[in-house]
Amino acid sequence: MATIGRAIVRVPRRVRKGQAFKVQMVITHPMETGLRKDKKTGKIIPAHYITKVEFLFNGQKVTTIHSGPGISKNPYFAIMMKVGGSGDLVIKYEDNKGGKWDKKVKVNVA
Amino acid sequence: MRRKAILATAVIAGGAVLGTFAVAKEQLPTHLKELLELGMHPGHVFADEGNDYYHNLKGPNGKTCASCHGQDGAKLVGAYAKMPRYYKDIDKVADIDLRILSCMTKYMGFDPKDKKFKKKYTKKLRVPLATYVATLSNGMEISVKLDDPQEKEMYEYGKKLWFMRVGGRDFSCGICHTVLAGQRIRLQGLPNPVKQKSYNHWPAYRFGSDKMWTMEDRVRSCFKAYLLSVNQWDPKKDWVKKPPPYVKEVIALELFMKHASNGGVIEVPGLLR
Repeated sequence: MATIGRAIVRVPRRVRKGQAFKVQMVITHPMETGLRKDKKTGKIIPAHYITKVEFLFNGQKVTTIHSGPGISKNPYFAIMMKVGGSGDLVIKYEDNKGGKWDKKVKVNVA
Repeated sequence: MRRKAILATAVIAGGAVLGTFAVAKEQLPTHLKELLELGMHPGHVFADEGNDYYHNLKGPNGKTCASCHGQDGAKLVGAYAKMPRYYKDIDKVADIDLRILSCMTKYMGFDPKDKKFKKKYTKKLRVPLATYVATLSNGMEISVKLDDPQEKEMYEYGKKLWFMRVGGRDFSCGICHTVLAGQRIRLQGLPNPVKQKSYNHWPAYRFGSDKMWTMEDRVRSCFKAYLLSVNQWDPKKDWVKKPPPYVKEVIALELFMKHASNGGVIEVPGLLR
């Protein structure tokens, strides 16, 4: 069981200016719906899922994903984006139990 | 229909010529193929986490894995391709899980009898570290050699276990994976470790159960699923339980399977149903 909230982000090593490229990420998260029962105790496992994934490039908002309990465990997210120059891509994500994490990657424009 | 049949045979023949991965990929369901084409799945997170532990986890002796094996696993490149093998310092044939555990207890200074450490190791550290070490050998060919007499003995034992019909269902590994190999059980293709070199994608992320598994977990779960543990492990306990980790039987089977996959190109972390 990997640690909750750990993520990896992948961008192409070199990006061309003005051309769309793919940003992929995987977050390890249990994504409990709140409908499952614990097999041993019979109690409902409380809901625990990612609610929001925000992409910021150089402090500017690129997009926001509002996710819910319908998404699988250890979810995979991908977006296409364009940049005008090199910079930092910061991805902030949070869940319904108050967990907040962020991940930073560099985008190099060749 | 006819054209399809011809195509299919062509694909199968091509796979046979290419040897390994073509056949294995052909058997995958479409959605799994699509997932593989993305090039990224949760298995990679485990490798990343293992990288973290490799460089930052300090034992009581103040050593990390990196202080012996080099930055970024420089000295471990290709090590996974030769495992399981005989190690002089622990005097055992060890697979990757046991090797890492004995490294931790022998050189990093963790107490092998400490229950807390053992639990932490099996639940938290083992799989990410094993995955990370396995990824270092990506692109290399599996080459398990049986040089040592202990390895040969283990191999023979593994071969015997592979074809031995035991357990509550009177089953052996060989029934599915040698005799009926290439056919399907429900939606899943049954891989043949000799023809398809199917060891090359282990450790793998299984998205059916959302878990990362090393071969150790896989074999132990097989022992449980086919009720092979009858009268073998601990007769006082529940007989459907998994065998204890790192036992001779599990490692012998792993050695047999990996030797059968010799020549396959390692591609980890794999993605399976």
